[in-house]
Amino acid sequence: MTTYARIIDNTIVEIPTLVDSFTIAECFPAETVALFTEVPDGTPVGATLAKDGVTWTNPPITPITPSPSPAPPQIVYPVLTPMQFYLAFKPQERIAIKTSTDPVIVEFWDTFQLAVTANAGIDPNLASIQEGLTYLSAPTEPTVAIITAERIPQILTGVAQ
Amino acid sequence: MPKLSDFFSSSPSSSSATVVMYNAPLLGMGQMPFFGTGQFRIIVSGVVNFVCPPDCSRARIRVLGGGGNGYPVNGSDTGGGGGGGEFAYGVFTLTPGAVYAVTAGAAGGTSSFSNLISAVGGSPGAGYTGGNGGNNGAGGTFRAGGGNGGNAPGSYTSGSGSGGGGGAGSTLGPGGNGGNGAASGNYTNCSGSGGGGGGANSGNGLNGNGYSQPGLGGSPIPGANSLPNTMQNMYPPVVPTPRWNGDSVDGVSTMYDIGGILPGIGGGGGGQGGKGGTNGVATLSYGGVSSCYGGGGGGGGNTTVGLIGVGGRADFGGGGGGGGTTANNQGPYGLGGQGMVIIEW
Repeated sequence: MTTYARIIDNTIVEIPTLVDSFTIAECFPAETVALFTEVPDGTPVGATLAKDGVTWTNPPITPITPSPSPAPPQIVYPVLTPMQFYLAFKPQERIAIKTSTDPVIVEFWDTFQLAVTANAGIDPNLASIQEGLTYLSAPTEPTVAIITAERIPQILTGVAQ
Repeated sequence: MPKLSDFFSSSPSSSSATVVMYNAPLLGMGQMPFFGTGQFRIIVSGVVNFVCPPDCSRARIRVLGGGGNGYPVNGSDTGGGGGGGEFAYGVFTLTPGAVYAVTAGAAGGTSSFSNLISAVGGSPGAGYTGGNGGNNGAGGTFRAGGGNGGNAPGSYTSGSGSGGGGGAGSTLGPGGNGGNGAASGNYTNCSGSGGGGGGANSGNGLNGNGYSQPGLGGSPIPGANSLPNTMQNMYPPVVPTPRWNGDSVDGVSTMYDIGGILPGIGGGGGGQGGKGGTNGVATLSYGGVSSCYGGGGGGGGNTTVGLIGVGGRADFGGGGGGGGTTANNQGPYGLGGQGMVIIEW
């Protein structure tokens, strides 16, 4: 991955951490991207650029208090209402789920009904929800797949079909 | 959750005109009014893929750059304070279901929401020179730069102190500048400099006079350079540890600004300078008294042999104070406050 830095008076004052799968142009406005310059990988904050314009010298003092390491990128899905979750499935998918005799899918549907009855939010971040959708896309034979794997993130985000 | 009707009411009138009253709740200094459905997410010091919720087609986004670290002095020396982080906000149209890159800068880092809006972090102290406050970010409808870090006196003498950190920008305006470190004195008559006030145009930090009188933080009130000690003590200190480091906080606002999670939005005074002196114990000084958009941390005080002056540390966005000074040791430098992104819809 390319390393970018914000440089003031030939000294690196910032090395931004980019969100995985995003380019720097997708992470910052164009005017801000212009503040960053590509530098060799491993060049730390505080390094200074020599007059030759090529050589970087690391800062003379090692920071005694390490900066907190950036957290790994994460996807946190918003909690959905039962209706949002329901409408995230296509009509033919809903019909297939409701008419399925596969005990795993029946259990998935029953759990959803409990959420409807309790009018409780559905948290797409729960493993049970994500595992249930994964099973719908790759069930045990002889059950056939009801959704494709590509549909899972679409359903988890609750976008109505 | 408040409904729109809670904020508007129609009153009977003898005339044919309809009188609409806006029952806005009282807002604290620098607080922003209720927005959208009241739902929000706060992201602090980390990079996150933000999945736009189904009911989020319009969002108010605030970004705050991280404050720069104070200069890490080595041996008998002083250091400049870090600059405060820039602040900006705007309202944007988003696409439900889309994934946006969110960057909340660490100390000195730039914060952004996708390629829509950014706020640049403050620069770290560079030797004796205080770091510049963050500016030059882009996007949004309102923008306020961070205050500059205070300068160190230029060389070590007994009793000299480091510069205070600049305050962060906020809804109130640009952050105040950190106080410059005292040039000379003696071990029993020195103290650190005050940090700049968060979001106060003139809320610069003031130096203390003697170890028994630490420097004062800048005031969040434009035109006032500092709050009296008695007033500073009225505000509970902000917890100085990362509260949601690399994490995000979701919630629904119930009143005023985002649910009261962030105290004293609008910036408080910077932290006091660290005490020094033969009998003084160097004290950590945290910027951002009662502040979300933090004031700068105070500069580290001078100490005698065996004690370590510690640069002040800021809360969100404020610059850290310069490194503390000792006769023969390295004083830990003040850390800049973290950046932050707030998404409301």
